[in-house]
Amino acid sequence: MIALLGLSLTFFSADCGGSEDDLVDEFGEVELNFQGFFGADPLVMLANEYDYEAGMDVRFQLFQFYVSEINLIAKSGEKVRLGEIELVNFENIQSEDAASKGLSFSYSNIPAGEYRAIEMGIGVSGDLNEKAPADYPVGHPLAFQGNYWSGLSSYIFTKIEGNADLNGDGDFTEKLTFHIGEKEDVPLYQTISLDYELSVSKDQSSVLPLSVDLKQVISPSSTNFLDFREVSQDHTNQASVYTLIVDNLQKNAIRVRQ
Amino acid sequence: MEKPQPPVDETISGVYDPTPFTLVAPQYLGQAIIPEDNPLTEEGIELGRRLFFDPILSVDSTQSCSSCHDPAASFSDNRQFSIGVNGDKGLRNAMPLVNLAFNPNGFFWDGRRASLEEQALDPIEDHLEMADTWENVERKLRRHPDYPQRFKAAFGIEQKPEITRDLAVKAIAQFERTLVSANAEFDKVFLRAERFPTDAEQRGKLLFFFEPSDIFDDHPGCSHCHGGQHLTDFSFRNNGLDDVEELENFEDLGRGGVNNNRFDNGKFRVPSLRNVELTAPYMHDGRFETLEEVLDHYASGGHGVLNEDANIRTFPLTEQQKLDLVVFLKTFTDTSFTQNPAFQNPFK
Ligand code: HEC
Ligand code: HEC
Repeated sequence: MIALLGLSLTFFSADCGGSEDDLVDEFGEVELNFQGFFGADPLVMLANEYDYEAGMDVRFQLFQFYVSEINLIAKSGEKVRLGEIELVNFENIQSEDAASKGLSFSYSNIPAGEYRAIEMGIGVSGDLNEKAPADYPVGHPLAFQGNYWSGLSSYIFTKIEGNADLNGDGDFTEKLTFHIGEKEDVPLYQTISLDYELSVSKDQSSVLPLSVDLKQVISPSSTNFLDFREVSQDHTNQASVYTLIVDNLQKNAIRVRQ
Repeated sequence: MEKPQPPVDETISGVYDPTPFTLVAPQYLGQAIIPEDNPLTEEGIELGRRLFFDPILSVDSTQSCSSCHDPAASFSDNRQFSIGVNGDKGLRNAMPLVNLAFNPNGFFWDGRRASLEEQALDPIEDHLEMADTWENVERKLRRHPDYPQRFKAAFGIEQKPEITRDLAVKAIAQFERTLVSANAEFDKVFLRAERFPTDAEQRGKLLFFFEPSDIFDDHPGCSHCHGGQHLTDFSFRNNGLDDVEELENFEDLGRGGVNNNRFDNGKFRVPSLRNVELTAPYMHDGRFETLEEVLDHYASGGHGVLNEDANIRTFPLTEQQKLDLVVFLKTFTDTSFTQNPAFQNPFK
């Protein structure tokens, strides 16, 4: 998705005499690339099955989450807005080939220069969550009705869906649906920052490679995991379930790819 | 030697002075999708309405679009499979035509046509439907006493040979985009708060719509797929109808037959449930005759086929809950839509 010229042209200091770290009055493109994993394995919907804790196996149909207010942080400290909101959606990653390509979001007109980090909000930021799908044109990440709870006036920040084989007999009979959205008393949005040295040069495209490990989200350790024998669905009503998912997605699952 | 024919005058009389038409729909339906090269005009819509109801579009002039898309049934028919001009049964259940202007995800059960213009090309030449050819239909329209002036009024053409299938489908698509339903009890009660719901309506709503704060157990959760003001998210899903061993074994491949992705076999577009009371029988193959049967299907939780949507789960369904859900589903009925004079047959 190409971000429109949303960034204002007022922030960069193009005057002479700046330090080497200053952004310059030239523009390149930045591509944000997310590859999905389940532990060490590529994350592939439907086609792949994964070993899970306690002798269970798991297969996925859908893993998606919103990221908001995506900024690059320049070495000079300036923030440059890449995008307002994206839906990182692995639903159509159904082969290892697709998994190795990952999901890409491209942003043009990014000031050339040296950057040191990326920052983004995991979930839908407060301002954006005030609106509803009907407020957006078709194709916008927030226009999709299926990601909105009208009763609660919140977007569904994260969805994980799939099937579990509870006893390792090869039958994936247990359906899994975990839908996390914001409720008045449960703020779930958090900004994260990841260090990465990125140079943006005039008319060039630079890739910022990220990984998302779904295993870290639902099963960070063998003593701390979603036990599908006990719980196979949550719609942000069981704190132990949704805090596990939200905390781990925000703190442990998203990394810069080495 | 043949004598030279006197030149035929193909000039169309009448005027071209189109009146722009603004689609009126509540904000909560979102933005209507209107292609830039086919803006709505009163003249275009009226021409489209005539073509829609005119059997001239079929090979033996016995069938119009409305033969299978009857306004009283929210522009569907009440057969399991529609019957074409030759008496042949079609392969799928005729779809209702409602709020089409808001669908971003392709038309037909499998989404194989990207726009209403493209869609409208198909039925004319479908042997199981109107079984004509567009060459022939174009010829009939050019020779017609009334249509040439209407094509001129809508599209500004001057000569009869300029009447083409492209303009015909543009007009039909314009008419179809005006088919907006937003005046059901559902709108009045739940979207515009014009009156309080009855107890049964409210109970039905709480079964249909997922209200996460008070749900811990198995729940019908219809809104996972039929949520929002359109009562659909326009996605393609397997809602658990068929028990197949392999994904290749679905009788109708649905979406997978269009994009050749085996994981999409057996997926169909989640239909809007607006006017669902009037559109029986149900599903792409019309397998269920009543809403109660539909509810029994969902409560049974599908068959566990690989790509069956994870939101298809068994749930308890008492007789009372069934009654309540049906009451709620019937709030989607909008008779001001089905009886709208602008949507009726102009030849009657
Ligand atoms: C013989 C019955 C029949 C006739 C005649 C017919 N249709 Fe249909 N229509 C159907 C069936 C059946 C479907 C679903 C077919 C499928 O999904 O493959 C359908 C689907 C549609 C859809 C898709 C709706 C959606 O939500 O995706 C539109 C639009 C439509 N028809 C318009 C028309 C128009 C315009 C005409 C006349 C030019 C017409 N139809 C003539 C039976 C018919
Ligand atoms: C997982 C998504 C999903 C859920 C949940 C779901 N549906 Fe559906 N629904 C679909 C799909 C997909 C179809 C079309 C399937 C087909 O024809 O093959 C459909 C079709 C229907 C139809 C037929 C409409 C027509 O025009 O033929 C009705 C009625 C219906 N659903 C009602 C419900 C109700 C009531 C619930 C809750 C008990 C529900 N659905 C839950 C996806 C879903």
